[in-house]
Amino acid sequence: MSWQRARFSRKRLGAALAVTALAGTLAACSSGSGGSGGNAVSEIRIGLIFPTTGAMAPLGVQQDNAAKLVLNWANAHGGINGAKIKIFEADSQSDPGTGATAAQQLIDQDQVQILIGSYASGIAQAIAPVAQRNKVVLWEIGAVAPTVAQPGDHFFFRTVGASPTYAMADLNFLKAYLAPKLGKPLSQVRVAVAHEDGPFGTSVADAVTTQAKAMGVNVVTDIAYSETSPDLTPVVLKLKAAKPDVLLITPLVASTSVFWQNARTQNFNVKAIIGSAGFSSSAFLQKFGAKGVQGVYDVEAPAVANMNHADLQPQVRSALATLSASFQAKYGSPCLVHCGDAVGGTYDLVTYVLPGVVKSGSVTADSVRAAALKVNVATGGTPQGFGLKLSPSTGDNSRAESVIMQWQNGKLVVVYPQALASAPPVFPMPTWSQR
Amino acid sequence: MLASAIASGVVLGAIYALVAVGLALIFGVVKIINFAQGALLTVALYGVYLMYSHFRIDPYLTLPAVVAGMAALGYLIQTVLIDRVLNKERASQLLITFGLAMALQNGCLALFGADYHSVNTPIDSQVIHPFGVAVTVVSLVAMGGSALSVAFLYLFLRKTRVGTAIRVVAQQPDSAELAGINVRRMYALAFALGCALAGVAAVLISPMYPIQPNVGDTFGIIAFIVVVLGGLGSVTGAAASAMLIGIGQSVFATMINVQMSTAFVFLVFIVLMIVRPNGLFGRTERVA
Repeated sequence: MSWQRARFSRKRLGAALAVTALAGTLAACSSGSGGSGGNAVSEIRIGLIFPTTGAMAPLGVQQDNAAKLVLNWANAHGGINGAKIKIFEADSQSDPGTGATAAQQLIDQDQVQILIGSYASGIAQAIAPVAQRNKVVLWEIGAVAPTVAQPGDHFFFRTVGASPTYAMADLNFLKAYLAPKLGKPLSQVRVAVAHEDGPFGTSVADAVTTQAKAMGVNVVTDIAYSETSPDLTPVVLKLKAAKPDVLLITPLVASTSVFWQNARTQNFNVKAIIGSAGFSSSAFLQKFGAKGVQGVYDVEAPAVANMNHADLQPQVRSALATLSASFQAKYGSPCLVHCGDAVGGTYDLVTYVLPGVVKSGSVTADSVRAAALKVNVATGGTPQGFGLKLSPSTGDNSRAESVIMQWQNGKLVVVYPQALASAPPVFPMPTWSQR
Repeated sequence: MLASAIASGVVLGAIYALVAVGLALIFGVVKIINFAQGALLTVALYGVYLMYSHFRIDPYLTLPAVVAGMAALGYLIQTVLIDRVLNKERASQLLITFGLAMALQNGCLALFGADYHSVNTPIDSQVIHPFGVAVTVVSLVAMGGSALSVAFLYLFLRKTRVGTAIRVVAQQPDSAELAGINVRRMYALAFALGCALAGVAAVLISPMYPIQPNVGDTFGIIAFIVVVLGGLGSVTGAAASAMLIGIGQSVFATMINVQMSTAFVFLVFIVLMIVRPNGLFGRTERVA
């Protein structure tokens, strides 16, 4: 897997031209020109479906807010070739069944033409068949389990990297940085895996163990646990007994705090922990403070506010700066991982896909699919730093990547790959007695 | 490893007991299954958080205010809501507490948002090692508080006039009324006491768990298991079964399988319910 920047290529030139063309169109529309001639589309009805209540709400709300911000930003710039985006919102209540019902309501009552969701893999798994059955595109910006959409679902597209990209980032970082720092060959590094037992944690852990085996990495234990468990001491005790050098752990938000407290109580120290989801949340920092989280790694799509923007295309850089600042001003927190997923995925939709849809003269699942499959954006062309090329078979973005971040002095900074890094990694992680 | 598992199980059991005894009391006296107990715990946790975040009060020092506030809320709930459905069908009673739970949970969401909040105390990170096992000081405080709460409740119900009146009402409400006891008032007192205990639980667990609108769900569900297993309405039975569940869950998770530990608890519960339908510790519908 390449983390290298693509050289200035035809693809990149094409992407830059597309962005320039959109900017020009938006400007023309905002001056009241009414869009391109013969435009039959005056409105695009988009449904946002996220968990804005329930256990997943803290990060679900962030994604909902960020997606809304981008859609409103597009409207404020004249819409999509003159077509205004009408936003409808629904709450999946952190529950797959409710998510499916809410998606159906958005389609039936609000007649949305595109759904943007869903934050969590379990919920996305319930929404995707509803969207497919009703011939509406589900534009997925958050869920990462590869099994979200059924094989043959042609109306599912995902901008963020699926769980194999997490595993790839973990293992590339292990090989390129951690193993040399540990002074061991890759095959002798003891890696422990722990994960919440829902679709998200399980899919990431499965990808890690499969890819680790292929690379000859020694996975000494793999522990699944319930996200709602009020005590994770048994998990910590088992991990401690396995004596790992590195822990790869995939929790959601609630169990992160419980795990970290139990790890502190049991004085569980490893040279490096790469977490995910909950480990990148502001709740983690709030509970344990800058010293308490210092040195902890996190693997996900990049925290866009704290990554290196130098290699982004100029239009993307400018849009990201505006959107990040708006998010910070409106919601009082920096645009980190989950906000970044929504900003990136929604920006991709309004910038690269919808102009093609409007040009086609109708907003249908088929026209969205046709426009989406034509998109070919090189690295640096999306707010998350990676490119955009959607697979006709799976709907996944084959250019999506996950990155390694690290808590350094109370800030979650991108440390790997180097192209997006805003700081070098720090090794080893402090022990509990040093915190 | 086994010793550590037992120690963490005892802590977990103490927390379960804290949440469950209030529920057991309410069922034992008012004969209503309070589905809102988990949501009341959530409300109390937000009470702790409010005082901590606005006035920088140490979470433990919020105990008197939170307990008083929760007792008042409990009294109000009983007199304004529950009282009106006591003579109605059982389904109405269940649904009203279920509706109350939803209202409280979504009220917290509307007021405080979906974010996870946390409170800290100076003893947050302190760990001691009695008998070679690591235990946090906040866990020990929770265990001590749990033991004291159960003991207080037991003595209150056994040794005071009001407690005796509550027990009489629990066992024979009609006779109690004939004897001049204000049954409705005793119901309200029992509900207030049950909610106050949720307040105690909230204060003691607040440094250990992130606070968000659904935080009470996990504890609410397990509290039902604990109460049923202990013998519906039995406060001491609830405390004992909480310990059994906490230790059993922790030891099973550590020594056998983490993922199956919750399933294990429920399987054991089902088997015990078949063998002893009235719970582990005796007959139904009694308090203390």
